[in-house]
Amino acid sequence: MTANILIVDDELDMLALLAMIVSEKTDHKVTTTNNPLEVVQFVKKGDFDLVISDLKMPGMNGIELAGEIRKIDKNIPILVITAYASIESAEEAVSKGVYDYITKPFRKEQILIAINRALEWKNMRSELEKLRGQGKEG
Amino acid sequence: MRRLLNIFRRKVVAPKPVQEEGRPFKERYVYFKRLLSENNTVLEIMADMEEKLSGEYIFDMNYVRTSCSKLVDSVQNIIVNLDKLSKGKYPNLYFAFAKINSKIEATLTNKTEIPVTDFTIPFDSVTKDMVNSVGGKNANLGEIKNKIGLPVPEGFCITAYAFKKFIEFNDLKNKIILSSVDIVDMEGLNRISREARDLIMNSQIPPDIESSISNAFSELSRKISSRAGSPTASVRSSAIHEDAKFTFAGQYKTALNVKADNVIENYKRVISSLFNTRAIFYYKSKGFEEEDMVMAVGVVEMIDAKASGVMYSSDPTDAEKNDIIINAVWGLGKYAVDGTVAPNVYIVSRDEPRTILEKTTPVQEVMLKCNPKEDVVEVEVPEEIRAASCLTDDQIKFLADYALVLEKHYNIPQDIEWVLDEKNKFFILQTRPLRILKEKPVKNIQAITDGYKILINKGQIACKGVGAGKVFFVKNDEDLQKFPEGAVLVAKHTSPKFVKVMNKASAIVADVGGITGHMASLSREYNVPTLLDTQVAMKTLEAGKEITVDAINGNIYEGRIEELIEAGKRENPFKDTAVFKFLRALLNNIVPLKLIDPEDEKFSPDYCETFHDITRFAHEVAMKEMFQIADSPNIPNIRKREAVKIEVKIPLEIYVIDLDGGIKSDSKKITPDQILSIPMNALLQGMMAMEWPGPPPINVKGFFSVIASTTMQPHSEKLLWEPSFAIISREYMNFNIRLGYHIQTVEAFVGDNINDNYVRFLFKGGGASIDRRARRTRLIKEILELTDFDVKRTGDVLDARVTKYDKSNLLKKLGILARLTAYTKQLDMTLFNDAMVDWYIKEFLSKYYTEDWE
Repeated sequence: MTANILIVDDELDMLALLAMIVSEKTDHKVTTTNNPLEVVQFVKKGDFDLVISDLKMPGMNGIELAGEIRKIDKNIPILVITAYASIESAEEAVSKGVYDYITKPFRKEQILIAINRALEWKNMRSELEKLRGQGKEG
Repeated sequence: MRRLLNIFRRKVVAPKPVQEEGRPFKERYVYFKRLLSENNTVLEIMADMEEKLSGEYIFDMNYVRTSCSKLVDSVQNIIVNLDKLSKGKYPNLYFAFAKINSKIEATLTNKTEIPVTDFTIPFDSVTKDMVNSVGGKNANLGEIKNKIGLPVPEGFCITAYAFKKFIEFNDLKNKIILSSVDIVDMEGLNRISREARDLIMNSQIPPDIESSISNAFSELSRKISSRAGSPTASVRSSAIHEDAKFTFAGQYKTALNVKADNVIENYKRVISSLFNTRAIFYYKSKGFEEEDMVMAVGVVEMIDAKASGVMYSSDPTDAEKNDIIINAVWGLGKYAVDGTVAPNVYIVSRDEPRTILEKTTPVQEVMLKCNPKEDVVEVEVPEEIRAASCLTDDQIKFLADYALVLEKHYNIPQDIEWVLDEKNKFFILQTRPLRILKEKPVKNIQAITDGYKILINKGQIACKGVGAGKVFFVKNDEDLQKFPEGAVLVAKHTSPKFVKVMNKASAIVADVGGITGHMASLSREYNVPTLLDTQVAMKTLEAGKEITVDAINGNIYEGRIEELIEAGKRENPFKDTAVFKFLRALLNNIVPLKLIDPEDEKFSPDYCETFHDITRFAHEVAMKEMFQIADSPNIPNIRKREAVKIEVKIPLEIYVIDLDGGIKSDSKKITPDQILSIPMNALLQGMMAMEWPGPPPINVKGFFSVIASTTMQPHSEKLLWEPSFAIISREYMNFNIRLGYHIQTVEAFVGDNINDNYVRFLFKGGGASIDRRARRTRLIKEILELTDFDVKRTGDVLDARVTKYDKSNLLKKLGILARLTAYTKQLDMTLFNDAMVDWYIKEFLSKYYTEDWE
């Protein structure tokens, strides 16, 4: 399955590395931005299946970002990337609706696995909604 | 050491309470253990950081900084503990540490001294080495002009030193307070940024700088007057760290078409852009230092472009394509860079003859041009050229040549800004390394199972890669001397000495050893594919046979497998990122190991150049310090009160002094089963399982040789009756065995971490004549070598050591040592010729030499 993934990180190196890994090892389509303030516009316009975001960014942190995204679409899973030292805020993020977090440094494989799981979750959620919809109709 | 002995001697003269005397051992053991533990921490952190260089990991600056600070702490702790253990014997280690640490600090903070220069420097005298004075962009322009000889506009630099003086003159360092803002507070960041920029705009340029700028501009006007009536310039940022550590591209201000009168004002405007919100965020969050906030500026002749654009000497999305890519717009290049208009795109072959492979020329409605007086203005592109190509085919090919000249000079693909003036002359405005983001398609290196024979399929990968060559066994130093180019080094265990041949070895395989060891680290530094802990390589592989070591999947194949070798050769583009370069620069002061051979006279704190050197040195001398612990003259004084006698059915009187968890009971006499010390237990069990030789000299000549020898040594009588002492803990043993006429010391540390583990065996003396004693040392040496000990023999003194084996292996070796001890007791009496030595070696090997001997 080919998914649309939005990657947000203010550190351009990280952004480039993440984009490189995903586009190299998967067939997913990657959009990147280093400005968290643009994300809401992106999510409104684009049809994204997953958002990967740094937790600490200027202007808007990953938790706020997740809140904004969920206002637009509750079914988009959000993966946050964080330094090991900030693991508590990562846990807080998960408690506030972020799908999962990954601590830096991580192996390339780790992010790919996390992406797969997040996309599976999204599919299941869509299926569920469909079934619920059918239930109501019925 | 003499000082140390004196301290002990003094204590013997005036005995203190029992605990006081016992304490030095315990204390020193505590320091030793701490040192070992810190040693492991250092090795683990180093291995972890080096692993990040493999390209398999994603990490950030924060990771590098945190790892570094942990490392600094641990290395410091090693030195402090060694200091206490050795009672201040190595004060120079502190100096070595300070020296290395300051280099690491400098890399971490990226503090570059701002060189004292003139306030302005004309492009004519600039080269790329002057980056700290004039910034990257200016330095490259100077290089192109003066070293490569391609046309660039005239201009001059306002230096970093001028910036520094400007900040000082206005006391801006104390006025711009960046520390109070919270990085998540975007409002606050914006406010601080605005305040800082206002402060700069309202500050005065020192008069001497102002006059220097104004003189430089007059000189510039004189040079370019032939090209323009009333010359104007662009004022461009040229930050010191731009493109080096973080990417700041496009974040700083550029002022176009500025008149002489307004240069100062625009200079301030450009340097104030250094304090934009994003830069302050980096400053706050990524450990940017205030010293990093430095900017040089370029004042560059304004060329009213007919056309301009950007070109890449290589395709950034696919370096294998062999294309040059040129973008072009009508008018000034700003519109090509910021995407206001769709540019012409030309794709040109890098191969000769230069051919234009593709040409796209969209219609361009508007363009940016210089206003006749000042500033720039958007105008309509004249109707007749709107749809036309900005450059002719000849011009395209001509420009493409420039790209290759620049790439060749810098030896790396370039990202170039160019401009074409109204007289159809090209100028280069900027060149910098091109970021090629797309990795070559990754070949997934699969283990090959078909058609090739796998000889070994286990081991730990210490350095990833694939190497092939002929098997060459290294068993001692002489083997290293003979090591052939391109061979695969195969050894029983790892040794930092292998570094001598790492430039020749195509791969390294060892049966024992771990990935955090010193040698593993060297392998990674030299990038030699290395497979450790293979267990059976010495037995399985054959000398001179070609093999392929796949240290990616962890297999060794028979023969040479080209497809694996080829697949192992891939370059990694991650390594071009700033964070990688940062890590690599730091590791240069951390990982390379220069102190390899403890026998070398340069094995001293004065020659420590990296943290690894310090760690290795400290570990080595700490072991030495511990080994000498039993030599202490106050042992006899302690023994009666502190020591515990072991009731054991062998002809030895053994006392133990417990440092920490070495025995179960606190009675004065214990049985062997109450020994908890792992190495002591192994040794005792081995000794008890042997049948000890009866009264020795049957041969009369041998007996007289003993008598003659002892009469010449006044204290020998006493030695015969001397008890043996062992200082032990749960993992440690320092056992001084008195066996009739000779002394042997067995020291061992046997724990769970193989980096800590070692057995050292020192053997000296004997009652027989020197030739018989020498025969016995030969016998012991040969057997120890078979047991993987590294043995040094000087006369009748043997010093043998084995390090970094896991617990079960070391215990087996201690067992062999115990049996050898019993076996060779007084053997020297019977060794009346060399053939006897061979006979006894054979007998020992056949009867007692098996690692699983029970």
